[in-house]
Amino acid sequence: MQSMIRTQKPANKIRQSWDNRLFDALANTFLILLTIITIYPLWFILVASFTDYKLINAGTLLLYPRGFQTAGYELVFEDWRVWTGYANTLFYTIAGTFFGAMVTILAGYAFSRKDLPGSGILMKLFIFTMYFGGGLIPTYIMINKLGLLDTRLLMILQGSISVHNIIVVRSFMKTNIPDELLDAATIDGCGNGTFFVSIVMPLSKAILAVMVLYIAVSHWNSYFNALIYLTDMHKYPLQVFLREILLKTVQNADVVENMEEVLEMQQMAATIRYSMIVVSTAPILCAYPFVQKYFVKGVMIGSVKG
Amino acid sequence: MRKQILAAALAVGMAVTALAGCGNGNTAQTSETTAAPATEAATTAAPTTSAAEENGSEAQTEAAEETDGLPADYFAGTELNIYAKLGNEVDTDYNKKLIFQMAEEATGIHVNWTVLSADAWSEQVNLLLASGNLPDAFVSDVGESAIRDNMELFYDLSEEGLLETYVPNLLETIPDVYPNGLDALRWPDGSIRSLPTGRPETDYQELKWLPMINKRWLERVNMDMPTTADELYEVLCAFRDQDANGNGDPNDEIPFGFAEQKGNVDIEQSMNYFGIANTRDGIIGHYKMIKDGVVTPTANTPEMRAWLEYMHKLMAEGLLDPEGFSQTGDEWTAKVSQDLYGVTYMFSPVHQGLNFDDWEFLWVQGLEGVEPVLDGIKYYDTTHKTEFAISAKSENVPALLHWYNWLASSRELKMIGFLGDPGVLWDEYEGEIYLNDDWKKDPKYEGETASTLTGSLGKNCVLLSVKDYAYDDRNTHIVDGVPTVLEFDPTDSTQGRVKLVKEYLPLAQDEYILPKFEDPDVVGQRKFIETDLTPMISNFVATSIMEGVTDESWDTFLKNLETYGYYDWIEWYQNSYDGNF
Repeated sequence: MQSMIRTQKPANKIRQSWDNRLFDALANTFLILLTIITIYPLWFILVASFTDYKLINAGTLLLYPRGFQTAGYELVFEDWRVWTGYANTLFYTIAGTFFGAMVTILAGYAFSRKDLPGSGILMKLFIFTMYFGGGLIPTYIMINKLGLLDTRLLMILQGSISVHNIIVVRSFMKTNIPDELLDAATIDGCGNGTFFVSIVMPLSKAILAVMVLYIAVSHWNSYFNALIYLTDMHKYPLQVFLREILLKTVQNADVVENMEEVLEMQQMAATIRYSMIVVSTAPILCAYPFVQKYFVKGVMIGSVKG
Repeated sequence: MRKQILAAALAVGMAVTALAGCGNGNTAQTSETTAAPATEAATTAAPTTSAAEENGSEAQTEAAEETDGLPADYFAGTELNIYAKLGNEVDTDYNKKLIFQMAEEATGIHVNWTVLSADAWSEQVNLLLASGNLPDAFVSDVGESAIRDNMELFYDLSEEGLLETYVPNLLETIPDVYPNGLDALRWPDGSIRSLPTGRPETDYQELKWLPMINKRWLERVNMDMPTTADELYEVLCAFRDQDANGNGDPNDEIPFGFAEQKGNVDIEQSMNYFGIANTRDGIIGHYKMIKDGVVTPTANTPEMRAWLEYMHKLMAEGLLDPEGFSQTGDEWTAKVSQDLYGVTYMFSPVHQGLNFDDWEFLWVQGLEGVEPVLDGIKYYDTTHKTEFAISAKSENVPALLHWYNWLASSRELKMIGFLGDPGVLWDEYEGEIYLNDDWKKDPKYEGETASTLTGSLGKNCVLLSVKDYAYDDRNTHIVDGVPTVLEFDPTDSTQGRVKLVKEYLPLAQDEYILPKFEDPDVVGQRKFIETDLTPMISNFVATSIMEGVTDESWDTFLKNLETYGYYDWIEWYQNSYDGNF
């Protein structure tokens, strides 16, 4: 009897008890449901952007595009402002990310060094800004006095540096760049600059990738600063223009001579909204897989041991 | 100990931050102080010499004398900084607009435009006001509340002789637009902080959305147009029981559709049949009416109770849309387009993408001896009274007024300001002005719409009276270069709406509160009452329609009206009507 059982079951397979199997089944079902709940809204946005607006307004459940149309995309892309906005956003994102990542890494590294004079006070001052700010109006007045109102430079500088990011980098550096490494390098005649470029940076690729992603996403989504500080519409980033286009579609119909068009536009608002979400998030979604492997590692190290 | 010190430091930090927030008021006070020299500037800039003689432009002098008696180029060389909100046009360079090019050529005044997107407009205007970093003027809707809260930042144009000297064209138009003349622009302290733009839209906006019944449904159920509430009930029952929309499914019809969340499609509009009507004040506006100069409560009347009972009967028998209190405007629109409603409210059927001839105005008498009254009033102010606001800091007040006046110096200029270049959306033919339809055939304008061609600033830079834009009964347009009387086109949304308003405006109310700005504190008193009163009444209405109204619930409601300040609210409107504030 025993030999029969042996022939039926592989020797190295541990037989699962019924409660274990039940747990696995429940856990798998739960995870599958969770995955569907997470993915469906994203899938819905993509599908809805290609679906007839009447079906969207009717609240129809969508699993695939129905009444296929691309009117939302046509409307978004035929507007010159979308292209200008894309160019501006790319510029602000690339320049802002370069500047922000550079300053964040340098500051994080400096704070990780025990021999930085006054590091304790400096760090407290940095942290103070996380909790207390001057408020919108004083900031506006200050930016005006600095001559940065309506400048592209402001869009690069503002929001590039976050104290939270600096703390994450500091924690990473403290954990991954031991003092002994600096001692050894110094003995070999390595200066601070060379040590940072040749040793610290190659060892900090993971946190650099995380910072680049954080800062780039923040610049890509940046909307409020442009709304407040820019007056020349040719400098607006994509997000402001997209919002503008959407607002136009749902505005009150006050142009008497052309009601049908306004009504049509109002009803199309949902399709346009979904098309815009796809247009504005697609580049970030495309970039994410390339930094994903660093991202998980970097975030875990930076946060857990912070 | 260290923790205590840290806690103390944080407390001090928070106090400093809070004080910084309070500092805003001081900014405004500073602005008030610095505004004084500007007032003097305007007074001393009154024209005593003719700059036209110095500039030697006879043609321009003649043109100016025709308008305001001042040489057009009196302020030549002045530069104005003006903020504007981008309209529907795409080009942000307003100096390319014909009307502004003409203005610069004639007046020699150059405008440095800062054109903001609609979204940035409200954010930045608020910041500019708060920081005191103001341009010479705002030429788009600053908003009544922004002016009300920052009154001292805007130039007081009520100075004696100022408007008479610099904007006579406006003063000429105002009596044709506002029944109470210049008082429509005055704040309770007597000051005038902005000048108006736009036009009164007659035959279009006076009425709210109108009750419409589906004629095809009526034909399918083989019934006549109802004229009483009982007949309407019978018709709605037939809609419910039969395949009124003819799609083969007798169960998908919703006899009476409404959407409480969407303005203009609320169930309260059916109170019209019971002699209760709104002016244009939102849902709460149903609970007062002006009768012979007296603001009269309507929420406590037998008509109100009769309406609630009737509506409950409809709801209980499945004749009202059960989702009406919760559905969104989009969901309501989807049901209309799917032909699920037999009766609902519309601006006009064409605006809902429906055939005009398939729908008819539904007017029934709810109670014997009670005359139905339609929502809306026979005068409705659609002008924009805060769209030309001059900063108190501006040193160019006379030049700004002169420029604004020049834009309105002839009917043609007003039309250019309103509808753009002549020969596109409008044209002149033998001295008369007509809408022009020929642009639609011109390949040059392919992809353009009326709104992108005019934008909204162009329309709003001047105030037009009905006389100015009376090109329209809207029925004669230039077609193939010749004015042609258009036959009624049931697919044209404008014609459909105008037809409905013209026909049913006599059913609307005659009495209304004159357009004016009100004291913020006094408005605050009203809004304070409304904060609790509105939801209390709305909840009672919804509950009564869903569950019915009993003597007990009605008595409680009447007591609540008193408790929640309903009669103070009525008194507030009486005072407003009487011009007490």
